Amino acid sequence: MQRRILFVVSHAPQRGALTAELLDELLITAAFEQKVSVLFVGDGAYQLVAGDDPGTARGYRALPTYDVHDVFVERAALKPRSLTPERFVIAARPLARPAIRRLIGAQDVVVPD
Amino acid sequence: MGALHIVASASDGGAALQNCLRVAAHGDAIVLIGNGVYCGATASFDRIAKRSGVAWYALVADIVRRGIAAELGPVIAIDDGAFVDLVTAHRPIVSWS
Repeated sequence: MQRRILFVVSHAPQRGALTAELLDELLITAAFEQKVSVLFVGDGAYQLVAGDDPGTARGYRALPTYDVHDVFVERAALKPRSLTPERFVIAARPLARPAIRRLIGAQDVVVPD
Repeated sequence: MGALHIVASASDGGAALQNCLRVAAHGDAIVLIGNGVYCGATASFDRIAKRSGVAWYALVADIVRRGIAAELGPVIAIDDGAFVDLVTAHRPIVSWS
C-alpha cells in the first residue's frame, strides 16, 4: 500500500547523529516506494545550508535518486534567518502557511525529526 | 478530519509549540504532553490559546506530576484513554519536540 508520508524537520543540524538517522529513515521509507515529501520548518531550515559535514549534504542530494522530489521549506522561516534558497544544498520550494496546512492535511503519516 | 498535534517539549523558548502553531489549521487539536505541558502555563498562553482556533488538551498525569495545575491556562485536562480517543479521531498525527 502506498501511503503519503511527510517528514517534518524542525531542528537545526549539529544534534549529533540525529540528522544522519533522519536521512536514513527518509531514504529507507522512499526506497519502499512510499509517497515521501520533506518539509523544513523554523530552525529546521538551517539543515539546508551546507556546513563542513559533507555527509549530510550528500544525503540530502540523494533524495531525487530515491524519487523524493517534493522538498519544501517554510517561507516565513527564511528571512528572519537570512537564508536564501540559492544557498541550499538541494532545491526546496518555499511554502506559505496555507499551503503548509494543506500539505499536512493531505498526509497519511507525519514523521518528526 | 483535522490533524492532531502533539507538543512534547517546552525547551528553546517553546520552539516546538511555535512551530506547531504556525502550521496548525482551524479545526485541528493540540495536546500538550510531557514537558510540553509547561507551554500551557506560560504568561502568554491565554492570549495564544484564544486566537489559535484550535482545541487545546493536556495530559492530566503530566500536569499533576509537574505541580502546575493552578498555573495552567485554558486547556482540557485529559487522561490516557481520552488521549487515545483523540488519536483515533484525527488524521494525521503530527509530533513536535
